[in-house]
Amino acid sequence: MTLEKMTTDKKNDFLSLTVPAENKSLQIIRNFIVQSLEHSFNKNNVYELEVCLNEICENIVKYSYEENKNGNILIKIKIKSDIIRVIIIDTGKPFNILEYQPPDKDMLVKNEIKGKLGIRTVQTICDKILYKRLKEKNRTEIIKKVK
Amino acid sequence: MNLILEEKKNADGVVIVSVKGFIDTSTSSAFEDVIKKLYSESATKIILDLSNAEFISSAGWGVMIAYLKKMRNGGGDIKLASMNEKVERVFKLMEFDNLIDSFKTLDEALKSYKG
Repeated sequence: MTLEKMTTDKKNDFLSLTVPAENKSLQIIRNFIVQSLEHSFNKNNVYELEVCLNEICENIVKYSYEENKNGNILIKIKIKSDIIRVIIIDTGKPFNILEYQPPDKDMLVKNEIKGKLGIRTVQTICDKILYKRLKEKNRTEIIKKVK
Repeated sequence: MNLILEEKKNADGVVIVSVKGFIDTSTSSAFEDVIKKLYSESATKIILDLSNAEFISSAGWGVMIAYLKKMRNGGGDIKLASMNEKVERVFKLMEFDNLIDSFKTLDEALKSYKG
C-alpha cells in the first residue's frame, strides 16, 4: 500500500506529511521539506535541513523499522519567524539519535568508515536535537535557526 | 532521475565519473558498485564530476571516504569537481574538505593529477 498524505493545519500552523517507512519515500520526504521552505528561506539552509531530515529518516527505515516496511513516518514542520522545527514520529523500535556517538573525523579515512556519518551530519548542522519515546512512538525533533 | 553514472577514461588514465541525480541510501549501492569496479580494475585515479549531483547524503560521502585510502594506496585518489553551492556547503560544514580534495572545475581537477 502506498500512503502519502500531506496536510496543512492552519490553527496550529504546521505542515505535515505521512509516508511509508521505506527508502522509496526518501525523495518524497526531501521534496516535501524543500517545497515547504524554499520560497521563504535561504536555499543553503533549506538544503541543510533537507540533508538532516533525510539522514534521520534513513536511520528510521534502517534501525527503527529494520527495513520491514510495516510502518509509517510522520513529519511535521513548524515555522516560527526564523526558527524551523522539524518533528519526525515513527512507531518502530526505540531509536534515540542522541545516544549514538558518531565516529571521529580523523578516523574516517584511516579506518575506511562508510557508515554512522548521518548522525554526525545532523549533530553538526542542527542547532538542537530532541528525542522522546512516548506511547510506543519515537519522537525526534530537529531545530535550526535559518536566514 | 534517480542516479546516472557515466565513466570516461582519459589518456592519462584518469577516470571521470559524472554523477547525475542524487546519492542517498537508495542509490548509494549503485554508486559503490562503480567505485568498487574501478578499484578492482586498478583504475585508482578518479574524479567525480558533481556538477549535476543534486543531493548527496552521508551514504554517498561514506562510499567516497571508505575508498579514499584504497585508491591512495594504489597510487591514485578520489577527487571532486564542480560541486554546486549547496552540496559544497554541507561538504565543508562536515569538514570533508580536510579529507577529500575538491576543485571548482573539472579542468583544475585534471591538472591536479598532472602536478
